[in-house]
Amino acid sequence: MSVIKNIFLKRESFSVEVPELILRDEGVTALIGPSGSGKSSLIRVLLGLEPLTGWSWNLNGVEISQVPVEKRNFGVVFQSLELFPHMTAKENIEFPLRCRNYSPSQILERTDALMDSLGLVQCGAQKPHQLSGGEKQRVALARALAFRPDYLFLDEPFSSLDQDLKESSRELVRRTLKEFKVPALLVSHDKGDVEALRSSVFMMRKGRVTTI
Amino acid sequence: MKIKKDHIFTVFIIAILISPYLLAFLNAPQLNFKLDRSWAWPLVAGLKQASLSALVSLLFGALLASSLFSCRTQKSYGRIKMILLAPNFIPPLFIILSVMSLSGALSISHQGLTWVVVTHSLMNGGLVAVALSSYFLQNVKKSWEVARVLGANPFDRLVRLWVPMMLPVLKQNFVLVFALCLVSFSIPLVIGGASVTSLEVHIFQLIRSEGNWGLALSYSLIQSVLVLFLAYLLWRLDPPQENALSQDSIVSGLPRGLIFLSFIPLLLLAGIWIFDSLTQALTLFGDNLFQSFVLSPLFLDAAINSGLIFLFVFLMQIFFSMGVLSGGRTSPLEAFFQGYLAPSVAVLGFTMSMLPGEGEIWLLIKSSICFSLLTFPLLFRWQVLSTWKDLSAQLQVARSLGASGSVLFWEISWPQLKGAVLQMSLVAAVWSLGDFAVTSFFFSGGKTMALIIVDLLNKYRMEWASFLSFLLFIFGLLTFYAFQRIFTHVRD
Repeated sequence: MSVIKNIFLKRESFSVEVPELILRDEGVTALIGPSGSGKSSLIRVLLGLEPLTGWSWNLNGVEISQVPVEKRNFGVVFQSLELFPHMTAKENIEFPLRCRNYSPSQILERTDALMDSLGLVQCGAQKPHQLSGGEKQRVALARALAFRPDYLFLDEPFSSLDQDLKESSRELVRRTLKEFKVPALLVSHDKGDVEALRSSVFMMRKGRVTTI
Repeated sequence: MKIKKDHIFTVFIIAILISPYLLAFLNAPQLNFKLDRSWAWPLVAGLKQASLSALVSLLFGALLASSLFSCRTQKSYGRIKMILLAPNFIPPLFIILSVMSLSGALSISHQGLTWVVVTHSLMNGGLVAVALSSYFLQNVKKSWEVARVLGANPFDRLVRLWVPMMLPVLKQNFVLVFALCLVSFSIPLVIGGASVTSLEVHIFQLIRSEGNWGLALSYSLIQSVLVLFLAYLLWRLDPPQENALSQDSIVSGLPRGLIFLSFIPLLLLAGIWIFDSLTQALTLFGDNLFQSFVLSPLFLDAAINSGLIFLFVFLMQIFFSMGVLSGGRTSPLEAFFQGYLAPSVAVLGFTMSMLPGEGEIWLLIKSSICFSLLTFPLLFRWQVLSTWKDLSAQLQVARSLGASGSVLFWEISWPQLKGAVLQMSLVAAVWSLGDFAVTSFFFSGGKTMALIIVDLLNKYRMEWASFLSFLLFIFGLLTFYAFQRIFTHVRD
């Protein structure tokens, strides 16, 4: 377990107050709540994308709040996926490995293994606009897991998918996280996501977190 | 192609906008002009100046964009955006005076290529900054953040992400600023000096100094072909705009102190000149010669003429806007405004000169039409087009509920756009106060306030010119403010 402390974020139209939040070091922790409750803002603070001082999170002996964003070794899949439009699917997956100066052989080995595992071999050479919704999602997941992150953040990853695709994507994410043994924080407003994936659940309402 | 009844008025307005090009080309054979190599040198000089101005504007704009990235709220973002765009609304005459004041303060000559490039960059840097930041925040920022989380260092993010993803907007802004600087007239004319010229300045000199309309028109046609090609490029390069700017997308974490960068262009282009004018004012109050000049019939005549042009331009901008909006938003129309660049002053001046009417009031009307045709496409694109795009969902709903074209215009579009149209028209009218490029085609001597100021500059009466232009500027600002207040009061 790791403990997040003292997140107090105030903006023009909303605030987030999380004095303490306990995250599991394995499996999926789910954070559910209605739209506008501050879930995504909380994720942004943990990722370091929202400038905030005074909070702490000791993960594996490292004080995360003091670490630059690029060095935190986190993976993320946003609702909008944010695949790099000018890169092919394969290049998207390779991207974090190139940033970490992996050797060409390591990049090839990791990327091929991931693409095989997630059924992306056929579409590796295609650009994001040529991929289906499910394929895009798998590419985003593969990119987030390529470098074996310490933690994976999933910010409403299934909300733009239709029901059939949602169910198959949930199963894929559950299986992949188990295979790669990466702990994850799942943010969603959909109870179906939570029931399919979570090990523990927190509720967020009006910027505050409560245990369920 | 069948034109719907609703679109007739719009087609009419578009026809008016492009008529100068058509008339110029149609009349070309009659003028018996010759095409010789004397156009090559000013064209090359103009291309060189425009390229340098566009490049420096891009770099300066990228730097100024950091002032927008340091904003923490949408409100402050909006305010800084206005400050950055303000230099584009300062009439060129006032900018020229500012450059002259600045060069005077530095005890160096105000003429040369460097000054032209610096002036163009100060004028357009803010425009580029707003375009770059808006595109980045809407289309690139989230990917930028994902790349950061995935471990990309700043160099990686710049080279692998920023450059390829920002390329569309960089290209588009380069072409836009290039086109604006290529057809720039007042700045190269006054600040360029002997070594810096452009085809536009050369055309003006052919008309004013030699009365050689035939050769002037031939050069105008060359320039028009170039401008139309640039307009086509702009239309093709239009990068897609996707999501609206939300509070989330604005906060970025750059130091707040960077906000002060946004004031640089405005301070340099207006601040120094305003300070200079106010210090000149103190010496002028006791100057009997100046007082008698201000009370002379010539001055009064010029003031009335400027006021009439102000009013005509204001009304014409509203007329053009209503015409375009009444036909409804279509993709071809949007593409037209995204790419269209107004013809040069020379082509417009030539077209107006072919219309009947020679008396002073006709010349005032012609110069107002000329000025409106010059400014309308750009101002409509900057101030009305994006707001109009935002109404498309409402218009679709209204249409599916059975609304006709006129209902769509009078009950949906016009109530929500009249504020932007009024603002746009006021800006054009204030601009016209400082215009001498267009009016000098129709009038010689001090027939308008701007022409009087240019006259005074030519006679080295810098202090008089500076003070009078300051009064003109204050008049423009007060009128702008008064109209805004009246409009708000009537609307409420």
